[in-house]
Amino acid sequence: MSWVASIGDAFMEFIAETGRISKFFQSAMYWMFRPPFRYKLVLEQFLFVANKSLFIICVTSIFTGMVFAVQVYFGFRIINADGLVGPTTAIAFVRELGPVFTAIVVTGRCGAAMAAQLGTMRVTEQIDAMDVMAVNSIHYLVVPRLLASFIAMPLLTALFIFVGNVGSNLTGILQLKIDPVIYMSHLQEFVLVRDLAQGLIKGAAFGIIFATIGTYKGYYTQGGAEAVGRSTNQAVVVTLVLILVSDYFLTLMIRALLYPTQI
Amino acid sequence: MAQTQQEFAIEIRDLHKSFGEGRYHVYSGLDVKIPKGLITFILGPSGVGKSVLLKHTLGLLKPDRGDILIFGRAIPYDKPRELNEMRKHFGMLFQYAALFDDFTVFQNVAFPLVEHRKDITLDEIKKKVVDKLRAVGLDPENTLDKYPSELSGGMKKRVGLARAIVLEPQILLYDEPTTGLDPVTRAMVDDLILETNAKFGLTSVVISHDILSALYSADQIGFLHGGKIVFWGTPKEFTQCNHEVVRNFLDAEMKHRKELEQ
Repeated sequence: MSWVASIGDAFMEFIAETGRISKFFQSAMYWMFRPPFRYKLVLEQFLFVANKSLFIICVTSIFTGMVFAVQVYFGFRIINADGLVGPTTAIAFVRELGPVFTAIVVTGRCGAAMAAQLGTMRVTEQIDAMDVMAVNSIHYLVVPRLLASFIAMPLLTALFIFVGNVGSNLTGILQLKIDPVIYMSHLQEFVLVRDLAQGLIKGAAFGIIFATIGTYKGYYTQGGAEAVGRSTNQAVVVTLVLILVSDYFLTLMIRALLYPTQI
Repeated sequence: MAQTQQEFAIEIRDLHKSFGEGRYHVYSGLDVKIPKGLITFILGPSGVGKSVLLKHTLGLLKPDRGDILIFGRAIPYDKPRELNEMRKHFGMLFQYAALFDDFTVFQNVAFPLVEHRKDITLDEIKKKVVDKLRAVGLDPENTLDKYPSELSGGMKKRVGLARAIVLEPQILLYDEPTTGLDPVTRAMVDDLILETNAKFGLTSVVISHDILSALYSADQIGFLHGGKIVFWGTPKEFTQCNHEVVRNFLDAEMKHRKELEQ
């Protein structure tokens, strides 16, 4: 029966951890609306999350767009639907690939960094020192990271979608010789503003997820340097799983809100 | 004892605390009274909960049972703003100084002022930082722009102390201030504790297992063992204490000294 017990223990730990993360997030929300409002810290974190991710987002998105166009083209050509390569790529990028890939790339870069920064501060007692100096550490360290990620992620998602479509466009027109007029006209016909809204809302939600998990894992690091590494690792793994799982439920929710007449 | 409640800076009554869902009992009915204006050392072997006591005092940990009064007022655990106000009574020097890595010495020492004294100008902040650095024996000209990674262990402690006293607290807490230091720096920290307490009229609480520092600097010594205070008295009374654990602790230190003297 020991395997039943271990499954039970794991499940209970999962519930407890979910509760702790929710409480942590609730605490961050409480402090988010309390003065002083630390604009400078939010801007610093925004530059860290957004500005320093620009290059990696551009590189990953352009190649994703290019390979997507190639794969879709070879599939659609069989049924003489190669004119739909543009809109298919665009819809995939706007609704799914944009927010999910951006979140994965930014989690690897910023979520891990947040866990490592706060974890190091925790094990060297810098977070305790801040609290002792009557400066709430969640207010000072967690809230700016959450806000910055929430603002930066839709922008990075929009950039990913745009550059990805440029990649797809260039490949489709220059390499695969799709008629540019057909490519663009179908694009306008199929991709709607609410599709873009869907992608950007998901981006913002993923921003909250990776910043919450990254800061939570770092904030509650216990031990020494090894523990910081463990927290960073856990932050990335948990965030990636959560992003992919929540993507499904977010899609259902957004469709119910933005696409009420469609199934 | 004729002292009234107001004469105590910190009063801990019947403190109970356990970790790991009640498996590890740290305190089971701890009573401590820290008088105002004195230097009190809390001694004890590693792992008896000395640092946990400091965290309770600051409201960083909540007791399972019991009361902690700061100047006669209970710690408001469930009111974050009042808790922050209460913490302004305290300054703390951490074991490894806990300076912010990304901040310069100036930014570190100025941090509490920038956060809490919105009424003063940047020039006044600079003046206060320079004054406090001088008070702990540092030359501001050579240290203000340095980062913690560029400082020695002793200098970090001094900067940590300057940061702890910059808001002019009433109670100063020291967590293992002499652990891991060379003899010269250790002596310097001992003197610094005495000087700082006298200069600013503070109540100091030092958590340590360094007997020599305690005998040199303390007005009072408490010995923590088994979740309770088993000795409380002056340094002289401490050296004459016959409690078994205290005796072992003292003899272990004195044995080496006697052997070396012979």
